[in-house]
Amino acid sequence: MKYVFLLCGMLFINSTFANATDLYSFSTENQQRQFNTLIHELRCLVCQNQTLAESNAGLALDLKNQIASKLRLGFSSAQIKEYLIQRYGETILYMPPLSKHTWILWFGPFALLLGGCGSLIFCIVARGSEARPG
Amino acid sequence: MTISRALKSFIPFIILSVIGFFLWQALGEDLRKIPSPLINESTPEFSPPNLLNPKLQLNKKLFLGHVTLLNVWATWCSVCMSEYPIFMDIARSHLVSVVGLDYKDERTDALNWLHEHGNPFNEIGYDESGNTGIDWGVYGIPETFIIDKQGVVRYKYVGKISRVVWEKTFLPKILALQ
Repeated sequence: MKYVFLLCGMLFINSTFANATDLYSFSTENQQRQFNTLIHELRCLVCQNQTLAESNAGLALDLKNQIASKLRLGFSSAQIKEYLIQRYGETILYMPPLSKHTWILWFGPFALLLGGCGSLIFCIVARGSEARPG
Repeated sequence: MTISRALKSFIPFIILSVIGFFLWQALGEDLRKIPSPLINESTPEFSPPNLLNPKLQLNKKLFLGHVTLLNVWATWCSVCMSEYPIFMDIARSHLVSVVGLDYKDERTDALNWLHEHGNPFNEIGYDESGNTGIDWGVYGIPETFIIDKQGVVRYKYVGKISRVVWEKTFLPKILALQ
């Protein structure tokens, strides 16, 4: 029976944890770290709900190659992001930037939640005070 | 029930209608289409090798002096192949200069296709690596750009150009740029 458990346990060795960035080699650890960060911050435009890190689409691989080669040439993360935004627009950033255009996107849901809770509390309190005998 | 209470009970309905309107609007859009930052900018770098003669390189000066359609295609892209006949018609009309970018394709496959089906393009670039495509923000071919006489990108269309799309979307824009 314990062998059944052992076999089941082996199924949980999740190979997707294997670091795909091992395919890209860098001379400095700093560049390696920058690469890892960048590919998690940029969107795959083919499978648009995935980051470049998660996606194996052709374009994602091409972009990862470009990012790696630019890092090796000494470009900074900011420069690489700018390079991609120039070509693909801000959609390529996985997290929308926080600007005066996007504050509704960032804070809207919380504001609506607070507003909803607020009016709910108000209704409960108001109804409570109505029901209280004169 | 007083009038003000009756009116107040409409507030959730109004709020829901507004939200519902935005939902209805968004449902009609293809949210996968990405707006291009190249619109109203000078064309990006364009110097891929010439598909027909790889020793030669194309140059972005090729976009100057006339309205150009740049069509990014590949033989492995079935939608690109299905819009081929319309490009043959566009080329025959001599309304615009038609330039092709063969994207991440096998050169022999492309040459065979052209030999068999005809060549609507004035010039064709061969982008084996996809790097020229990256410079133009290519993410899902077929993609077609309208470039004006000064070499400024005026419009980008992602997807198959049907006759309706040609007549309703492309033709008016091209005529306005002549």
